[in-house]
Formats: sequence, C-alpha cells, structure tokens
Amino acid sequence: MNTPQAFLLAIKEQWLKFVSSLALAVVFFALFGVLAIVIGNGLNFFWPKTIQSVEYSSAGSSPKTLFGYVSGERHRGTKGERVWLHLDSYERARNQTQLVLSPEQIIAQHTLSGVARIDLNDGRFLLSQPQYLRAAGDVVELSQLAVLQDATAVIVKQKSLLVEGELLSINQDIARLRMQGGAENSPAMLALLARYTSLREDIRELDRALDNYEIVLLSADGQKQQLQLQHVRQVFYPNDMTLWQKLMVFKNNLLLFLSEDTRDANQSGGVFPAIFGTVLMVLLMSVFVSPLGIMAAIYLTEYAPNNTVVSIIRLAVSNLAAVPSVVYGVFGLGFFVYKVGGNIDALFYADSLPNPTFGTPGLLWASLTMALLTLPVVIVATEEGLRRVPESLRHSSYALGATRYETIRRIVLPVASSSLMTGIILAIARAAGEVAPMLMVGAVRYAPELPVDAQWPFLHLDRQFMHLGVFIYEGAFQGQSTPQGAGMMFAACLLLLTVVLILNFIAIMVRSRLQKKYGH
Amino acid sequence: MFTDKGLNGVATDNIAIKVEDLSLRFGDKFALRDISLAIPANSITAVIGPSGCGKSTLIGCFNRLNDLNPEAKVSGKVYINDRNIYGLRQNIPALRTQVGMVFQQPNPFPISVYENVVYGLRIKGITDRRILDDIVESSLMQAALWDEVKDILFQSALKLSGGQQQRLVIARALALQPEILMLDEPTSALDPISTLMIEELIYKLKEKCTIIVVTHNLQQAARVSEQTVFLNKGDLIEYSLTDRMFTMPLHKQTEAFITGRFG
Repeated sequence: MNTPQAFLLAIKEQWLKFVSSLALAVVFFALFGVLAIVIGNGLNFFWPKTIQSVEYSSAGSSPKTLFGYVSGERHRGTKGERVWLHLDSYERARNQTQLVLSPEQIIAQHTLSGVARIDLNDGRFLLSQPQYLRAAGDVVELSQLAVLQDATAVIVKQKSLLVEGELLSINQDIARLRMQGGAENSPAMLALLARYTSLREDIRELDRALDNYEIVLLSADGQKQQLQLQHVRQVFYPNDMTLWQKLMVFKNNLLLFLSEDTRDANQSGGVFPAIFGTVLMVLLMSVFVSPLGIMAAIYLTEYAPNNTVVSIIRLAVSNLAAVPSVVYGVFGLGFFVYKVGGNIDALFYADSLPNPTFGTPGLLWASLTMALLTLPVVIVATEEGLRRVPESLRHSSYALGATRYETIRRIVLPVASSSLMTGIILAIARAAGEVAPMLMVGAVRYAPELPVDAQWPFLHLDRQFMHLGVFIYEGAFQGQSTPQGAGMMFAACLLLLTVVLILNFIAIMVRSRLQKKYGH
Repeated sequence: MFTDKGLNGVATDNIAIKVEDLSLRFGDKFALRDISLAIPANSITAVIGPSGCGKSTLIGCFNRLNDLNPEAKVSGKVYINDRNIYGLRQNIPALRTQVGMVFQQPNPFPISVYENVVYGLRIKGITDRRILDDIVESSLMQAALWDEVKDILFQSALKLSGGQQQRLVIARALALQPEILMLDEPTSALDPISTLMIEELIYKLKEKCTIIVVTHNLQQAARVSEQTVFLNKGDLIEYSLTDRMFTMPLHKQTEAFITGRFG
C-alpha cells in the first residue's frame, strides 16, 4: 500500500472522529443547559431563600437599611448593579417595590436572625421582623400565632358565609322586587331593607373583630407597623431555619403551587387551573383523535388499493405533520369557532344571541383543533405498527377461516396495540406543549371558572380554560417587569416538562408491557 | 382427464381433491400451468420440486389463500367434496375451516396456548366453555402436545419451543376437524428430534384426514408419503406412488431432481 495515501486516510479518519465528537459535545451542553436552567430556576422558586439586610447609602442622604432579596442583575457599563426586592412594608409589598443598587452604594450586608417572610393571602409577601401579636388590645406571644390565625380564620369564614350567602340572596330579592315595580316603601321591601341593614351591621361587627387581631412588625429602618392577621397566610424565618425545615417549606410551597388557584394576575398562588385545563384538553383531544386516526390508518394499510390516489393521500397525511401549528390555530378559529360554532348558536342557542355560546373560543374547539393537529402523528405511528404485524400471522388467521374483519380485530390490532399506544402518547406530548393555536381557539391567561363543575351538564365544553403553555407564554412577558412572575414562569416550565416526561414514561411502560404480551 | 403424467398406481376410487387444468398467473407470469391431478383421501401426498416451482402456490389453491394476493389470477377447477371451490358463490372462510394449513415458520398467535387452539372455533361462534375445553384437550392430544402444555395452557404460546409451537399450530388446525390438512415445509425450521415428532404425527393423522406435505427434504417425502407430486417451473412433471417415483422415475427431470443433479 502507498504510504502517503495511508497517512492521509488516517488523518481523515481522525478528523471525522474529532469533529463528530465535538458536535456531540455541543448537543450535550445545549440539552444539559436547557434542563439545568429550567430545573434550577423552577426549583429555586419554591426554596425559602435567605433574607439579606443591607445597609446602603442613597445619594446625599444618611445610610438606610432594608430587608430584601437580590432579584436580578443589571449590567450598565462595567458596574454590576443589582436589583433588590425591597418589600418590608404592606404598601411596598403591594407595589412590588424594587431598588437598584450599585456595589459602591452598599455599605454592609448581613443575614439577621429573626427576620421573617410573611406570605399574604393575596399572594404577595413582605419581609420584616415580627415583634408580638395583638388580640383585642392584649399583647400575645408570637408563639400563639397559629391559635390566633385559627381564630381569625373562623371569623373570615363567618363573614364570607354572610356575604356570599344571605347578603347576596337579599340583594337579589331587592333587585327582583324593584324589577317587578314594587314600591320602595312597600312592607316587603321595607322588611328586606331592614334585614339588609342589620346584615351590613353584622358584617361590620365581624370586620371590627378582625381588626382586633394584628401582628406588629419592625421594619429594617426601625419603624413599627401593624398588619391585620386576616391578610397573613404564613410566617416563616428562612434565616433561622434548619435544612430540614427549609425542605418542609419547600414541600409546602410545591404542594400549594400544584393545588391552588392562581392569584394576583398569575404572579403567585398555584397553577392548578392550568394543569386541570391542560390535562382535560389533552384527554378530550385523545378521545377525538384516537378513533379517527386509528380507523384511517386501518383503511390505509388493510383496505386501500395500491394506486396513485392512495399514495397521494399518504403523502398528504405525512406532510400535514409539518404544517406549522399556528396555521391549525387559524383554521380552528375560522372553521370551528366561526363557522361550526356560529351555526350551532344560530340553530340551538338563538335566544341568547348576540352573546355567543359556542361561537366563541372554548374547550371543545381547542381540543378539536389539537386533534386535527395531532392526527398525522397518530396515523403515521399506527400505520407503521400495523405494517409491522407479520404477514404470516394474518395468513394463519385467514387459513383458520377468519374473515378480514376478524383478523384485524383479533390479531392485527392486539399485536399492533403498542404502536397505537405510542401514536396516542406522541400526540398527547405534542398537544400538551402547543401554545400558538391554543391562544386562538380557547385558552386564556385567566379563566374564572374551571370547565368542570357541579352544575349541569358538569363538563362545559363552551368555556374557556387555562393552559400551562399559555401560562408560561404570559409569564415570559410579565417576567420582564416583575421577578415574581419570572419565578412562576420557570416553575410552570418545570411542571410542563415534568408532565410531558411523565406521559412519555407511561407510554414506555405501557408499550413495553404490550410488547411483552404480544411479542413480535 | 388425467394426462399421461398421472395415475402411476395412485388409487382413483376415494378422491379428496380433484384438480382440473389449474393455471395460476401472477400478472403475466405463470406460476402453475395446466395442472390436473387427483389426491386420494386419507393418504399422505408429498409435493416436491426445486425452489420457486409453485409447490406452495399449488396448495394455496386448495384453500384459496392465493386470493390474498390481488395479482393472482386462477383458471381451471378444483373439486373438494364434489364442489368446485373456484365456482360461483363459494363460502371461502367455511372452505378454509375444512382445509387446514400449517406454514413453514411456526407462527402461533401471541396469545395463550388455549386461545391459539380455540381461535378457529371462536371465529365459528362456539362459546360453550365445555365444548372448547374438550376440543382443546383432544386437539392437543392428537398433536402429541397435551402432556407438555397441559399445565401452561394459559401462558403465552410464544414461550414454547419451536417444535412445540409447530405442533401447537397443527393442533390449532386440527381443532376445526378439517378433512384436509396441508403442511407447507413444516419441519424446515426445526431440529431433527422435533422433525421426527412431526413426521410421526403426520403419519398418525392420516386416519383422520387427507394430508398434503410440501417438502424440500426428499428423504422426508420418501419416508412419510404414499404418493408424490413433482413440480418444476409451474408444470406437473410426474405424479406417482412415492416408491415408484424414487425407484424408477418416468421422466429424466424427475430422475435428475431426486438424484440431486439440480434443485
């Protein structure tokens, strides 16, 4: 063999090895980076962070102190300025005050014990030093917090029962009487009004009782302030916590996030409605897409003749998978919402027009649109699975006197069942993450009601719903202005990732079980 | 109707399958050309010939399994029970329950042993558990498999060995009590011991039904069959008693094939 040639070949060999390994390294770091950022930021959202107390000088005035977290960095020129969350009073918590400090402005920075994070019922929080509690003018030890919170909870409950129960019904009665033209001084009206006034008085009484329960706080610059206990959800001291206690808080935050309603324009509270909406939409979509996709695939593999028309259809189906999802969204809006929904309204809900019932984006149209979007995925996966069923099995079935229908039902479908499952799960995973079409056909950033409730017909297909993907999308925009929103977004991202991973995991389990059962 | 190639001592009284001028084309290509023969009932007939000569295609005509290939065009007549199965309005699924078939690769369905055996019966609509149980036992007994699987009837059939699977497939065909059982190279994927078991089984089964064995193995044909069909390139070259064909073949091609000079 020629020596220079062999040498060149060896170099080429090494070169390819090097470049391909480099490519793999880049891919690995990209994937790892995505995962690390989502998991890190997402979990950080739930972790009780240490509260810093910072002494700083602002231009021209005497030094001040604040309790806060670093919520972000700003790079202007060479100085690394840091954005501080500065939430040490109720007012500042409401306004989500932020403060930008450059390193020169900071005089000292330390972690004080006894500084608490106080989570409020509206989803915000503030940072301060609790001093003592007050109940009806008496000073109470901080250790009695849970007892007093229970006491206020009872009163709050009484109040909401009055407001949402009796007061509401009296208001409705009064309104109805006025509609019917009842005179303002008729005995019935007067009785109602008297009842109304006494109820208002009762409620005011309860409010006064609630005013009696307070927590007294000492802010960083030494000012005392009172906070009504009815606003307080929980108080904890991250600076004084052991790792185990922090873990418990972490766990609680996580559970609240998964189980609670959103608050405060999606910037705090939980994402339960979004999880619920996503899962319900995906389930409905599977109900629509599976029979349709599987039937179509059965026709294509088992019955369709081998001619040009069928080849074109098959090509069209696989190309449909490449159509951008936003196009499906536009189609769903134009066809399902306006055409089909509009016609349903004109036929069945004519009395409530011009208010649309089905002629508006909603759960039904969203799941139908997603079913359409995932149809090619299901058809292609099913077709592949059906084709993989050995011809010899079909022949033996025919040879035993089975017809084509019996062969498909008893042999082909069971043997291909793992592939059918794969197709459906792929569709679910795809549908769970789509945002663009969702925005057009029914998902909203905030839906006041879940699509399932105790009222007939229990499943409200016409309602709009919340969706994790849309939630993240909204969070990304709000996250630019508020750090809390950004944290929510990462946490929701992590959740979506987990949901998709769980779905894929279930798919793999189901598939391997079916594969074990039906061999081949 | 028989040509001079046929009737070399083959009995003509009790006929199970009578074939008249059977031709089969895949598109323009002839796979079988003007085949005529009569297969006696309750006997074993071997079909031999080089690869691609139409052996499997021929038996595929007896249960119309060739119909599954849309390219296949058949002409001629095949009489089973005095009825031309290529005539008008034939019930093909019913025909296939009369004419059982076993394939080269053991291919039990990926369900339990029991369900494999009763597959054809369930298709027929038999649901009575006692009848099914009885047939499972008798079919597996006939296929000499009962003792090996009676404790694992409800386990997947795919757990059985190759030889057991092939006997299970035979039991599956026997469950329908077919008049004719066709085996397409039933032992070519099996080891010598399993092969011997299947051959013994075939020999016993001839009391119950007419058996046709397609085989590549000339010794096997000589061992088990009473008469042998020799096909070459879609033509029926010779059809005679097995003893006669292997001792004094009438045709040069037959002689060349059985002495191993081609094929």
